[in-house]
Amino acid sequence: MTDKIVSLSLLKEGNTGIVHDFKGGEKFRKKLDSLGIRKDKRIKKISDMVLKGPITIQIENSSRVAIGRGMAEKIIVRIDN
Amino acid sequence: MRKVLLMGNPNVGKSVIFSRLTGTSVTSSNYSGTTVEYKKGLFKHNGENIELIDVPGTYTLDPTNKAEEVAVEMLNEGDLVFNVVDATNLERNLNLTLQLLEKNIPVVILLNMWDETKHKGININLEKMKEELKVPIIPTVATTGNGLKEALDHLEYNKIKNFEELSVDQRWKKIGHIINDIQKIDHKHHSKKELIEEYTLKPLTGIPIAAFVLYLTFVVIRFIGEGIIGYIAEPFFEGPYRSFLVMISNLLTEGSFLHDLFIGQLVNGQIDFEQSFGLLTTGIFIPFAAVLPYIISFYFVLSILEDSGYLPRLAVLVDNLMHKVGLHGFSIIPMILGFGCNVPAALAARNLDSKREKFIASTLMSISIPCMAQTAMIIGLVGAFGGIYVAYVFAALFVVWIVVGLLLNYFMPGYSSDLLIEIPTLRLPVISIVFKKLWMRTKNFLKEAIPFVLLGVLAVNIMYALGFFDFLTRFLGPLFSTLFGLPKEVISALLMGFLRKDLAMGMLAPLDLTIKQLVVASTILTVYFPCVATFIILFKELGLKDMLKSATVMILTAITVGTVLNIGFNSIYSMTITLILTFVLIYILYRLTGKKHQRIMD
Repeated sequence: MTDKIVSLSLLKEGNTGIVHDFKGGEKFRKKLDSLGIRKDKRIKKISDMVLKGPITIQIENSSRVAIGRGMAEKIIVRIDN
Repeated sequence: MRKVLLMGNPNVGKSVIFSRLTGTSVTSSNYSGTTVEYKKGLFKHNGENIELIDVPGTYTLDPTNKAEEVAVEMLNEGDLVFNVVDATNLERNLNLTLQLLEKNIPVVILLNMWDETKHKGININLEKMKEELKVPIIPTVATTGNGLKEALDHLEYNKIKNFEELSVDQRWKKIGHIINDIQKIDHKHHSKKELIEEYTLKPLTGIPIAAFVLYLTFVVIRFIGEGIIGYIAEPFFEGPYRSFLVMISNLLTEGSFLHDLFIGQLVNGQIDFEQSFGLLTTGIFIPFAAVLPYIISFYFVLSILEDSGYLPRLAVLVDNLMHKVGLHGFSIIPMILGFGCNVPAALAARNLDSKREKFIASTLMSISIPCMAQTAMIIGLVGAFGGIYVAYVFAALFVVWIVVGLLLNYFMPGYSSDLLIEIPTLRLPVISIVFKKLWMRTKNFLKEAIPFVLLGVLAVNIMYALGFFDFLTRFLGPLFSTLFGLPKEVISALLMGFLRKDLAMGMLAPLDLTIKQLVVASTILTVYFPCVATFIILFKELGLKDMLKSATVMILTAITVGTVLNIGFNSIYSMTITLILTFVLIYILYRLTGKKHQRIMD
């Protein structure tokens, strides 16, 4: 079975995925890393604000983080079933 | 004196612990050469003086922003670190802890939110954790103060661990091992609280909740503010203070220079607190009896909102709107603060990411957010004709906010950065800490704003005596009365509003203006300049060049808005046309900024 790979902005509200890759630079990674968002972390999308607003995720066993749409597009997640 | 640094991730209860450990001798200051603010408190323990420093919240010692840079620098100045760790979020918190243990400073861990681990099905083996990290670990519950006494017993702790410095990946691996060893999580079903928390973030439920919270906020602010005015301020001013002033007035004899300066003009042989314009009459009455009560009630409600963890949720909900004006969700904080007093709001804008955002946020805030004094003025002036007119003024201000914001966003080079914030759990604020915050904020307001207010009255009285306002009125009056449809006398009130918005209200009140003129005048008064105190802060925060730019935007906006309102309010037809044109303008600007954003993204 192959996993589906999408950007976080395309993950459906309520679904979970595993952080697969980042499309941004070093600074971007560092920022996310400090908040606990890093490769192989399981995350759940809690909300997707209307009109291309920010996306809120729940990091497994950790906190909730709100991420602006532009950044969310650069976070790639793997959906395993 | 022993210097203890209180360090930890944001939202782990650090400030609550700080408030509990320190008394009232708390000062907040800027870290030298930066705009990062931190708090310092003194207390005595076993006869020794201890200085506790509330270091800005940090996720990592490999700085990703200014606050974290400051945190790293502060490490060199401390004797001991109290590392506050959120027990319910151990993995991410240990990242900072391990980095601290690699440094040349003793560390004691306060394992906070200990009580919540049980509800969340988290089991932490404390003994094993102590073994692995080799430092004292004290479970604490900041909200009740549990464990803090034991923490104080470790103030003398001085063993430096000097862990081997690891790379980011190595560190996370190590944390993974530690977590495996010391923590077990029983999977629990979604609790009711978690469900509610998620509702506040989803658009369909979150937006109505936000509307309700904001509505409640304003109702409570008005209720408490009016309560303080009605039961404390007015009885005091109308009673003992009036008798005191009558005595002074008789002593100085009416008409003398000193009488004019301190008491001002008598109205029907009586001191009129709103219209006498003396330093001791109107100069004291407006800030203390009309504005301060609202400031107190505003800060009270704000502290509750802050400590409940609701504000970041609001930031998420408005992020999209804020992006249109070149900001992001978090800039809602200076905007909200502005409704209380523009001074702390202009100070809060410094926490934004870029110079561009700082400029846009401070300019927009100064232009369209009426502070409590201005709101009181608007309600006092036009409210008498009906609440609908107050709504007109606020609606006009909101439109101005959007249009000016869109314009600034379009014409200023660059674009807004993306939102990235942690959403803390909702919790019940600790009332004693809310009151402590309220006290600190009110004290700061008195210290920062009141001297300028008094100086303002003094300057106005002197300039008035010198005929400065008459000169300006004659000079600018004809132009403004054509554009705004206001009589000449109003112009001097508007000019004076730069120094004292609240006094301008007093000057407008006796002029018998029509409701249309009042709406125009109070909107212009809000838009064209903030008060002197805010102006000085803007100068300090933005620098001379950007402050002048900001002031130019303010003046141009005021002239445009005054003219548009003057024309727009003429008849139902002109009103409709004005509204349609405004919406078309907003739509065009909206599309243009969208295109600009797209261009930058590509």
